[in-house]
Amino acid sequence: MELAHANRVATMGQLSGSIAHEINQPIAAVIANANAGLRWLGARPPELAQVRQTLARIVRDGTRAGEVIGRIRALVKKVPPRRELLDINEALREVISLTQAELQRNGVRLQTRLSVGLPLVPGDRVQLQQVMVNLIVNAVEAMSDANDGPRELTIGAGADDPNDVFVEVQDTGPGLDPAKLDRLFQSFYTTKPDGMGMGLAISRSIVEAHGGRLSATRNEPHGAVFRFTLPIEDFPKV
Amino acid sequence: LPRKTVIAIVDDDQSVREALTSLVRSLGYVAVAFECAEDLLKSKRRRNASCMIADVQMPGMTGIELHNRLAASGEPIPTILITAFPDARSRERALQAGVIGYLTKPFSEDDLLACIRSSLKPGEAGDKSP
Repeated sequence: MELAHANRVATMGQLSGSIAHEINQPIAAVIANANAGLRWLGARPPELAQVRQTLARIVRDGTRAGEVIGRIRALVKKVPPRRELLDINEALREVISLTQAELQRNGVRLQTRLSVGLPLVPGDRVQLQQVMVNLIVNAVEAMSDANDGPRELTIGAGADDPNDVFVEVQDTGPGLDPAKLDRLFQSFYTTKPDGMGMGLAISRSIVEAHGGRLSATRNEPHGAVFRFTLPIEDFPKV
Repeated sequence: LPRKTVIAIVDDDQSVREALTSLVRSLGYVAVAFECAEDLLKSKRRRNASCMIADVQMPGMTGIELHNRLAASGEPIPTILITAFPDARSRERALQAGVIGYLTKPFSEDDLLACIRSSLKPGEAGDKSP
C-alpha cells in the first residue's frame, strides 16, 4: 500500500488550493467575527449580546477549521488499513467538501444524488475516500481539458441490489475510447501529460480488496461514468 | 438623522456571511446578506446598496459575473471581491472589470474598511470607526 499512500499524497497536493480554500473560509470568518466582537465591545454602551454571538460563532468556525485539518491529516497519514462500518454518504460528503473549490474553480456544476437510509458498509474509510477523490479529480480534469460543452459532475450513491451499495461518478467530458477501455485500469496507463497512470489501478485494487467492483462505462450523450460497488456483508481482509 | 449606508454581502459560505454581516453592522452600516448572486439580483433591497462585498467562487454566478451583470444592467454596485482561492488570472479579470478591491480570505479589517470607504460616494454616511 506504499503506492496507494504516494497516490494519496500526490492527489492531496493537486487539491492544495481547494484545501486551502476549505481552511481559509472558517479562518476568515473567525477573524471577521473577532473584529466585530471588539467593535461591539467598544460600543458605548457595549453590545454584550452581539459580543456573545460573535464568540459563539468563533468557537463554531474554529472547530470547523480543525475538522477540515483532521480530515486531511487522516487522508495523508500513513496508517495501517482498518475496517469500520461506514456511512458511504457521509464519507462522500467529506470528500466533496474537500474538492468543492476545485469544482467551482473549473466551472464544474455538481449534482449529488445520495439515497437516504443506505446500509453501513464495512471498509477502510481512508482507502475508500481515496477512490472517491481519484474519481472526482479525474472527472474534473477530463472536463477541464475539453474546452466547450457543459461541465456537469454527478455524484451518486445508492443500493440497486440488497447485497451491496454503489457509488457513481458521472462526468460530461470527452468520454472513454471503447478500444482502450480494458487498459484503463492498468498501472502506468494514462491519457494525461503529467499523469502517473496509477490512480485508477490503485482505485480498482482498493475496491476489489473490499470485495467490490470498479467499472467504467460511457455516459450518454457524452462523458464517462465510473461506478464502484461495495458489499454490505463482510469482505476479505484488506 | 442621515440615512444609514447599506452594504450588500454575497457569500455562499454561511460562516463568512454571518461574520461579515456582524462586522459590517458593528462598523455602523446596514448589512443585507445573500446566499448567492441570483438572490441578490431578485431582491429589491439591492437598489439601496452603496457597495457590495461578494465572494468570487460561488455555485451559479461568480462574484465577477455578478459585478458585470449589474454593470451591464445599468445598475452597477461598487464591488469588493473576496476569495479563499485567489489566482492571478481572476484577480486581473476582476480589476479590469472595475472592481474596487480583490481581497484574499482571511483579510484584515483595515483592508476591508479601506475598500468600503473608497467605494462610498462623497456624502454617503461613513462608518463609526475613528
